[in-house]
Amino acid sequence: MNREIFLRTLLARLTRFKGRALLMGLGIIVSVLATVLVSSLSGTIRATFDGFIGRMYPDDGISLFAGANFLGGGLGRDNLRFKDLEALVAALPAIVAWDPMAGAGRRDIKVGDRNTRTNVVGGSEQYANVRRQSVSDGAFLTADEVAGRSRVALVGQTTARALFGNTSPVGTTLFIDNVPYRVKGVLEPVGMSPHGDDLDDVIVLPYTVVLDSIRKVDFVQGAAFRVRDPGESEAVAGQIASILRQRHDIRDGQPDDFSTHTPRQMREMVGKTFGTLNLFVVLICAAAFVASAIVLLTVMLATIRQRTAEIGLRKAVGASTEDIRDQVVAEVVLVAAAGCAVGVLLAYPLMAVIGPLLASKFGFTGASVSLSAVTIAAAAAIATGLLGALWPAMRAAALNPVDALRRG
Amino acid sequence: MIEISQVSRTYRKPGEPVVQALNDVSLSVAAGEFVAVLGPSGSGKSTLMNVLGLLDRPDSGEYRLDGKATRDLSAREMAGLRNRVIGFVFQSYHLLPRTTAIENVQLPMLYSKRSDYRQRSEAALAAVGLTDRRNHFASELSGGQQQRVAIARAIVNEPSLLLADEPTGNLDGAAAGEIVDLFEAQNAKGTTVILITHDEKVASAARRVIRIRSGAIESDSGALQ
Repeated sequence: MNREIFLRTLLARLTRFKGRALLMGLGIIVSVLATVLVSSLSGTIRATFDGFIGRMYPDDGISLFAGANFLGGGLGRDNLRFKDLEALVAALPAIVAWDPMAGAGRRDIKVGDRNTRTNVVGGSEQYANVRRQSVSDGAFLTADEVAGRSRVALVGQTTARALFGNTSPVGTTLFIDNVPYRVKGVLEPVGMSPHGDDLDDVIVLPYTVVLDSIRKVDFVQGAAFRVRDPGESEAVAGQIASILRQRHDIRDGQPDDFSTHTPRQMREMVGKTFGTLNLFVVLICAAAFVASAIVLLTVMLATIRQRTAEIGLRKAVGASTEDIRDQVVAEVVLVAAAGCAVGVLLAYPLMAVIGPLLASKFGFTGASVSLSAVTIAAAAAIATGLLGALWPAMRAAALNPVDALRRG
Repeated sequence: MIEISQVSRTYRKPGEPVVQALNDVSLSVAAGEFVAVLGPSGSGKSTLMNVLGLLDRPDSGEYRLDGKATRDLSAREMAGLRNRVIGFVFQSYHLLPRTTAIENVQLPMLYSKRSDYRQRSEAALAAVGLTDRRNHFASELSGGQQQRVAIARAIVNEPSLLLADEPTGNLDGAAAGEIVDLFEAQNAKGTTVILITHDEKVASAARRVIRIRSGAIESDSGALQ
């Protein structure tokens, strides 16, 4: 075939039969748009989760939660004593730093005539080191303040803004359940959790204050450990478990009344969750493309029925069976490619709307159209075009020119 | 140019009577002839044209085009001959809708590999006197103009054989006359023209008239000596 005429007539057909081209391409446009958006967003969400997991569960960290439930709570939730933690640290030299988890729940906070309800947690002087969150203003807790049950507080960014506006709260006093605390510092911002919780809406007190003065209990909700070498964390987690089972008199065959989590486990868990999610994404996108292929096929079959005489004529003036087949395939694939281009182009402005929304509502920052998503969608669109073209192309190519001309 | 001997073509469709469209027809046409094939509808003249035009294969008999037997040609080779050697003109023009006159003329060149398709298509359109309509869509042209575009399309690859099936069947007298003039002009340049018609006036332009009835040649005014 003459390539120049071929391409020119192909493009002319697309522009002169706009309605039909749009009808054929609509499915592809929607499928590509959905695929690009969903897989880009799932990438963004994954990155946010990975960032969160990386921060909450750093490579050299181990988390211990009290209670039989996954991530704490349930049977034995009040069975993890501070003494247990001290025994673990004494027995395991691989642990270089640790910080207990001692939450006081949501409490009423007051400063002058401003008030808020905020999550109050306890920490030690090791909090900054173990949890990798220090202060951006003022100073962190000291060992003396922790040991001496000092009424000092560190305030998260959101809480600080709610209670103090834009002025530095360091040195001022805030009231938790009407008990005064001196504000020592403002915590560095960490943003939102993937569940949409604002992790900067928090107040950190010495854990001794939380346990002894506020909650008046001697059990902790867990602890975060930091080990010498990230390679050790699995082994140390095992040792933590065996020591705790011994201390808690748990017989063989009985379940733990605590759980340990290493970064590897957490990553595996997130990976598994996203694996399921991705499978759904793939299935839904695939279903959209199959539907698009059926649309292409149906419209093209109808078109060929309409164009029977034209195909007969083309054969009369010298088109071979292969020429006709190639023309039909090229036409459908061109529509698919154009639909794909439109879908991708629509994805950008839509993402510009969705991105900030996700960031403000759920903390999924940095949402953007990913190149790999575009590549996958484009490949799927072309494959859909080929799939939808196959049958009509063979039907058209097989037409007998004499019959075709007579029917026109 | 054309030699057919004892060609038969029968159509069988389930539930319909068998139609013997061509029955043992033998015919030879020399290069440069202008032949009119006359006959009532259903006489088999369209089948004859389809066979001569390599659109259809006879059930039996021999067809030699330019001295070459056509029986063993592949579908692709037949398509190539239709493209280069044969030009078709149909009663209902068969122009592509929403396609300009010049693009319609260029259609056969889509299936050949000529780089000079622009000049050739302009020349063909000029030969039928429609240069000023080159960018009109087919639907914007009169019947006579549409048929002239179809003739330009048929001659654009400079075929040695022009086959026309009732080319004036949809046209009034004046337009029909112009079309016949164009065939005569092509014939004057040496192109073999076979014109199928049932119009005696159109047939009178030909130097040889073959009458066909019930799939057989009834009379033949004879080849030019």
